[in-house]
This record gives sequence, structure tokens and C-alpha cells, in this order.
Amino acid sequence: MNPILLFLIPSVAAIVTLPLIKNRRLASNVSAFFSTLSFLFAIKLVMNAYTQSEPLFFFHQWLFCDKLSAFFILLNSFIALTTSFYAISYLNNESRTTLYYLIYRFYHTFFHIFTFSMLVVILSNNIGLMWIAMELATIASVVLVALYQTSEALEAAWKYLILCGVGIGLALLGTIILYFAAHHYLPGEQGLLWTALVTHAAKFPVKLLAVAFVFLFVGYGTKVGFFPLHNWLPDAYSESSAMVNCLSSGALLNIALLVILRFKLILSHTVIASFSSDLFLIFGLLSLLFAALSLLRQRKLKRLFAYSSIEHMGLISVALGIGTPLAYLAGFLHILMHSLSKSAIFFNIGSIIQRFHTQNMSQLKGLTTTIPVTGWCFLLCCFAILGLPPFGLFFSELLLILATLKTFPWLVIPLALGLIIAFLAIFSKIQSIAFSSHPTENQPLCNTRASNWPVMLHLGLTVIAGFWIPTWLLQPVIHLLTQGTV
Amino acid sequence: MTSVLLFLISIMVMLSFLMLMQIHVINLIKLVIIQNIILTSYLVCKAWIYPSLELQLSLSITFIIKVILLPWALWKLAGYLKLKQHTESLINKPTLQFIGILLVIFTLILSHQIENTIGQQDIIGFSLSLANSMLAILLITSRRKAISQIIGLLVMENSIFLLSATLNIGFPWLVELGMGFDILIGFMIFGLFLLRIHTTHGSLHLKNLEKLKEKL
Amino acid sequence: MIKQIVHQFLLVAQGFLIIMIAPLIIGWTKQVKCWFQQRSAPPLLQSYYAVYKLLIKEPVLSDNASWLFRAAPYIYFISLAAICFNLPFFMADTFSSQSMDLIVLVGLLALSRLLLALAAMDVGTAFGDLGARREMLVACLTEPVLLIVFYNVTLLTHSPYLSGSVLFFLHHTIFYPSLVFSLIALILVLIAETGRIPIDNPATHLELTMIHEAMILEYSGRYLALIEWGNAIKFILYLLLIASLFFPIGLSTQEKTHFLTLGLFATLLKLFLLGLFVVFIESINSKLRLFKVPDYLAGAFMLSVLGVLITQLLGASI
Repeated sequence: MNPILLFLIPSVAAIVTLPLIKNRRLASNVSAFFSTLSFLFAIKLVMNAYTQSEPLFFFHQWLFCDKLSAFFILLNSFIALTTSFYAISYLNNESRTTLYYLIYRFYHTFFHIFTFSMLVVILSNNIGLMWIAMELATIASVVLVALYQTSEALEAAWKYLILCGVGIGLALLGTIILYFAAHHYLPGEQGLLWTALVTHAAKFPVKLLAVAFVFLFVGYGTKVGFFPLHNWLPDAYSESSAMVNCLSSGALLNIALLVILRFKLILSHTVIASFSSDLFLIFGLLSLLFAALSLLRQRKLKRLFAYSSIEHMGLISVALGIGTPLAYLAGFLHILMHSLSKSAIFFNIGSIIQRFHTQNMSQLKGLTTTIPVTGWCFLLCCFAILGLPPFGLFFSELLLILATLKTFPWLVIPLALGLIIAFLAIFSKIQSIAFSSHPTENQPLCNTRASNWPVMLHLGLTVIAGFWIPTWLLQPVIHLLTQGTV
Repeated sequence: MTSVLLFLISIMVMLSFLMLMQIHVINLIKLVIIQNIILTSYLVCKAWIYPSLELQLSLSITFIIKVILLPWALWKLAGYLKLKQHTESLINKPTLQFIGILLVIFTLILSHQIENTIGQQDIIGFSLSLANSMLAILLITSRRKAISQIIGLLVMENSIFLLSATLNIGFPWLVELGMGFDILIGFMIFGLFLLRIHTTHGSLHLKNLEKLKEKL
Repeated sequence: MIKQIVHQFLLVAQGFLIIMIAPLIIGWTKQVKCWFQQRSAPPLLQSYYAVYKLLIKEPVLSDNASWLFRAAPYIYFISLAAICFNLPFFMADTFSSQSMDLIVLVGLLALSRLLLALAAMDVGTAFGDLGARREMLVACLTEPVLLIVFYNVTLLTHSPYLSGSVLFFLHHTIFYPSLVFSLIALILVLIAETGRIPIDNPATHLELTMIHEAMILEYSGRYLALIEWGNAIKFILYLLLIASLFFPIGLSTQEKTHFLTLGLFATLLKLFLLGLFVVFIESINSKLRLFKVPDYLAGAFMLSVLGVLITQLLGASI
């Protein structure tokens, strides 16, 4: 059986069965089971894709899996796996009044719809299918953000929906213009296939391609959180539950960047390849600097790390914009490390907020004395996200600065400035949370083991990656990308 | 006959421009319904001049969704939310219109640069559809009320549809993508209903909505 | 030779016909308005009776009225009447077709308005001043719109004369897309300049809400007769501009009798329909507050600019 089809089956099965399960505990366990199945099949798919030189196709070329997709599939399935295990303990501890029974079924179903649509985005070859799957992911994540149904949550979900709706509309416009540029040489449905577009890109009219790319960049860039259109991100993150935060920042931002990267690869064979790289650089830098400056003003925990997500996405897009193999290595290592550390952080913060029932950082003090395991994990996760040495993010940032020095030396100054400001902002705020002589009261939770081991697993992986960079994972991807640019 | 087609496209741009000036929310809904009708008549004229099967298929689906379903849904929403009494303050009408004109000029300059790559016939539809989508974005960003933002998205969807219809390229997935976008907007309208239920009853618990049932 | 004399005679007769018919159109609009409001209307020729009544009365002037106050109505009437000789009624050609272009038309309108405003301020009453200032506010905003609409027409037809443009539109009967924008802008200007609801209520007696009427409060007798007639001419002037520029069907280009009668009846029909349309707009709207009038007129300006932009875009292909 085609590995892609095998891989998609657990997600579809989850979507079909989970609305029918009323028992809460059973539903969480079933969800975790399906995520595990999907991760195992993902490993099989990834091994298939990495060993073969040609990409795998499925369903008359609408879905395919080359090494770039395989990398993201592995990352996404892993994060979905740990998230669904974390959800078992999180949902258990949620008080009965905030979430009544219907919500649990909604949560599990839309969780799996969300992960399924993200997987389809990664696997799709047809740019129309990519758009539809992205729209489905937007709708699913809006429902997940609005889950708690407080008026702030609904307002945040509405803002998210409208801004991403505009982005999706612009992306559709860009897709149509791209097809218009391509339809002479690739008539009919051929013109929508990414593999066909990449091979014939040099023949398309250049200015139309540029216009199409700008629309696609701005449209899908709203989902990534680039600077002028990032408004929905802090609100949506602060109002949703920890699992949704994790998936959003560890998975959704990545795949939005992947989609833009695919369109950049189409352009890389044409005359205007540098135009697309410039766009990546400019928006990446702007997002980085803006997010770093905004971090200084944050008072709430989840918003702080939401802006940190924007900052890291800016760093990744600068890396992708520079375009040398070293920069690609730095970028993809950063994607990997950022997803792992950010999801660890959000898991941790989820348990902290469940205990203290507040997000204000001034009211959270002295965690390492009251809840030692969670508190020390929090500190270590923050070190991981700040880019301190034994964790992998340090190496990816180091590699990024080296790559910048080689190509655009002047770029190092704003880059380093952004990194330093972000470091100072977050570091100063977490000091008082972790250590204090007046620790605050909290409400104890049950079954905390299930909420702690995902965090420690992610942290462990980042430490291992810090000592031994997984080039076996990254090298084929970079080879594919640089081959594309030659 | 091509002049009739261009005439209809210009009317669509004028309707989007008129929407920028409206204060009453109910007028926005009326204008967007008129815009849908003009879009459908554009497709009818086009199917008359260049008959093709997929165009007629997309025409019939468009007709059902845009002229019948969507206006019905909007009228129901307007009645439910009592929109006839709602007015909305805009930032400054002349400034808003001036920014709209600047956006249209920008789109026309942009399309003038592409003119030698595409033909003369295509450039007009292309530039006016892009101008329409720019005006839609301006509409969304300048409004406070949720229903006006949904209408802005409807205008954007109309302009995307117009772009793919005028470019004569036989975009293969037009119907599916159009319906997908409509689903997004239907989802938003549904969300507005839920928001209103939430604000009137304090929560979305169904037992609040069942209070009426017991009283009967 | 005879042909040319007959031609010139017809053109002059056309101008006088417009001047004579103007009060009839005012009577028609009042009739339609009363139909809408379900009350009985004064007779159609009431405006003529009103002019006659005013002519036989002795005018009363205030002590500090100067020569400007006495001369203004005449200049108002004469400048508006001069424009009438430039408008097509039953023929596409006009008497001053080669000597008066579109900008002179706008200039004559401005002259008439200027004199009236100065005369209103001449006497020194509060209401005259009020009306004059408000009238100039509306005029400052409508004149650019009118000029840009005419500019759009000139760009399309390559002729600065009104009759040349009308002939061009008669011969090329296609839907120019940008003319829609100009049409809407011109309708908005029509309502503003002729003082109809939603800008100004022509039948009001509340001085603080008047724009045009407040300027002419001090006039009586033959001066008032001239001004009332001038108002009627202004109304028919705008209606004829819309009818001939945007719907020029039926205007005759030759001097055969049946063409001329066809043109006459066609234009009368168009005038009646346009009057109906104006009254319809008046009936469904309420009067705008004065500080919202600039917003309304800015909208008209933007629409006309949009029309010019579309002409520039489409110009090469159509």
C-alpha cells in the first residue's frame, strides 16, 4: 500500500470516531493512540522518502512526499504525538465548570482535523489543494481558539478569523495569478502541480510571477506572523489552551513557512530569484526587531512567548532568505529546535497556569520552591528558548550568524541587536517567576507525570541535538534545496 | 459585446467604491447583493459569447450560491441582528475615498507594467479585479463592526471570482476554490450568530436556548 | 444659402425654446412630487403665472441696496440664458457650438452664481449673508466635479465643444464604462446645484435651513421674476446636460421635419423621465445636515476622478 495513504489513515479514522466517544477519559486515550499510530506510519514514510531519490506520489500526483515534506511530516507528527499525550493530563485537570462535555468532543475532533489538514498541506503537490487544506486548518484552529467561549476568547478568535481570512483571500489571488502565468505551457490541471511548475518556471513571464509571489507571500505570511499582519497572534495564543498553543507555534507557523518556501523554490529557477530572497530577508528582519522590542512590554506569560514565536519565525525567514547551504542548515536546525523548545515551554506554561489560574507574571513567583519539577523545567525550557549553550537553539543561532557574516556582513548588526534585546527581555522576566522569597499559593493538580514527561522528552532532544547535530536528518533536505537553486 | 462586459466590470468597481462611503450597515448588504447579481450577469453574458461547458457549470453553481443562498443568509442575519438600526462611524469619509483612489491608481500603474506580457484584452479585467480586491482590503481594515468585515470578505471573493472569470484561462479548480471560500464566509456568518447568542445569553450552553421551549 | 439661414434660424429657435420651456419642467416636477405625496398639484403652467404676477408688481428695494443689487438679476438671467444657446434640444448642433466650449459653460454658471451671492451680501441682512456663504461652499465643491466630468467627456470624444461631444456619442453608440462614473457624479452635482433634497429643500420656509432661497429673500417684483426664471433655466440646463451627453438617442443631425419632431419629442420624454427620477430621489431621502454636505460632494468628486482613471486605462482599446 502506498505509504502516504497508510500514513493518512489514522488521522481520518480519528476524525471519524472521536465525535462519537462520550467518555472523556476514553476519548483522550483514543486520541493519543491514533497520534501514536500516525507517528509510527510517519517514521515508515520518512524512511521511504529519505532512502529513495525520487519523491513518492499518490492520488494522480495531487499528494507527494519528497525530502522536504518528509522532514516536516516527522516534526509535525512528533509534536502532535506529545501534544495528545499531554492533553490526557491537562484535560483531566480542567475544572468541570469551564469545559462541559460537548466541548471535549469538539476539542478532540477539531484537534485531529487540524493535524490532518496540516499534514495534507505538507503533502500536497497541487497548489489548489494546498490552499483548501490551509483554509481548513485556519477554520479548525479558530474553533480551537474559541473553545473556552469567554468573551475575550471569542474576540480573539474573531480577529484571527478575519485577518487570516484576508490572508487566505490574497493567497487565492496569488494562486490564480500564478496559474495565469503558467497556463500557456502547462494547460489544464498540470498548471496547478508544484512539481510541474518548478521544472518549467524559467519560461513563465517574469513580472506576473513577481506579482503572484508578492500576493502569495503577503497572504500566507499573515499565517506565519510576519510583521504588519501579526496582530492576531498574541491574542489567539493568550486565549487558547496549551495544546492549541503548542500545535500553533510548533506546527502551524512552520507549515505556513513551508508553503511560502515552496513558492520561493518555484521562483528560484527564474531571473527574479533574488527578489524572493529579499522579501524573506526584509520581512524576517522587521518581524525580528518588532517582536524583540514588543517583548519588553509584555506582562502576561502566554503573550510573551507568542511574541517570542514571531521573533523566531523572523530569524528562520532571514536564514531562508540568505540562501547559502550553511544558512539553510541553520534555518532548518532552527525550525527543528524552535518547535521542540517552544512546545516544551507551552506545555510547561499550561500546567503552571492551570495551577495558578492567572497569566500575569507579577502574580507568579517562586515556582522552584512550590512546584520544584515544573519550576525547574520551566527554567530549563526558558534557557532552551533563549539560546543558551547546551541546548540546540544556541548552535542554530551561531550557524545563522556565521552564515550572515559570510554573505551580508552588515546584516549581523540588526540580527544580533534583535537577539540581544529578546534575550534581555525574556531573561529579566523569568527570574522573578522562578526564584523568589515570597512564593505564591497554587492549586495542586493530579496526574502530573503525564504532563511532565513530554516536556522532559523535548528538552532532552534539544540537548542531544546540541551535542550531536542531526545532519542525517537535515542534509538531504538542504541538498534538495540547493540543487533547486543551481 | 465586449463593451457590455467591460461596463459590468466597471459597475462592480463602482459598487465597491460606493461601499466605502456607507454609514448604514444595511446599505452595505444591499450593495453586496447587487454586486453579486452583476457578477452573475457578467458570467451569463460571457457564457453567451463564448459558450463552454465548465463556464456554464460554474455559472449555475455561482447563481445558486451567490444570488440565492448568500443574500438569503445575509438578510436573515440582518433581521436577526436588527441591523436596520445600526450605523457605524467611519474614520473620515473623504480620506478613506482618497486612499481608495490611490490604491486604484497603484493597481493601474502595476498592471500597466505587465501590459506587454499579457494581451490588451486581458489587462483590463486583470487590473480592475486587482483594484476591486484592494478596495475590499481597505473596506475590511477601516471598519469596526463584524458584519462589515464579513461583507469586505465577500467583496474580496467577488473580485477573485471576477479575476478568474475575465482571464479566460479555464482555471481548473475555480468552482471548488470558490465554494471553499464561500464555506469560509459561511463559517464566519455562523460564527456571528453564535457570538450574538453568546452575548445575549452569557454563554453558548444549549440549556439557555431551551428556556423558551419550556415556557411554551 | 437658404439652407444655412434656415439652419441658423432653427438653432436660435432652439435656444429660445429652452428658455421658454424651463418653467414648464419645474411645474412638471411639482406635479410629480404631489403625485408621490398623494395631494393635488397646482396647474402645470403655474410658474408662468407666478412670473407674470411678479412682473406686474412694483419691486421694493431697501435703502442701502446699491447698483449691484439692481443689476444682479439681469446678469444672472442673461448668463444662464446664454448657456441655453449651447445646449442641444431637438438638434445635435447648437447656436454657439463653435464659440462656447465646456469650460466657458462652467464659467458662465460661476458668473451667475457669483453675482447672486454678492448681491445677497450687498444688502447686509443676516440671512442673505448666510445663504451666500452656504451657496459658495456648495459651489466650491461642485465646480471641480463638473470640470472633471467634462474632462472625462473630452478625453473620450476629443472635442472641447458640447455639440461636438454629443455628435460623437450619437455616432459611436457603445457603452463607455467610465461614463457610468461620470453620470453618477453629474447626478449628484445636479441635486446639489439646483438645490434639491437631500442638499436643500426648495419648498422650505425655514430660513435657517435654506441655502439658495436665503440669498433671494430680499428680492421682489421683476427682479424676483428674473431670478425665479433663472432657477428654472438652471434646472433644465442640468437635465439637458445629462440627457444629451449620456443618452443622446433621438437628437437629429439634419433639418428634415420628421427628424426634428422626433428629436423634440425624444428630448421632452427624456426631460420628463429625468424630472421623475429627480423627484424620486427627493422623495426617498431626507435633507442632509449641512456639515455632511462636503462628504457627499467629496464622494461625487472621487467618483468622477475614478471615471477619468478608467478612461485612461481603457482608452487604448475602446
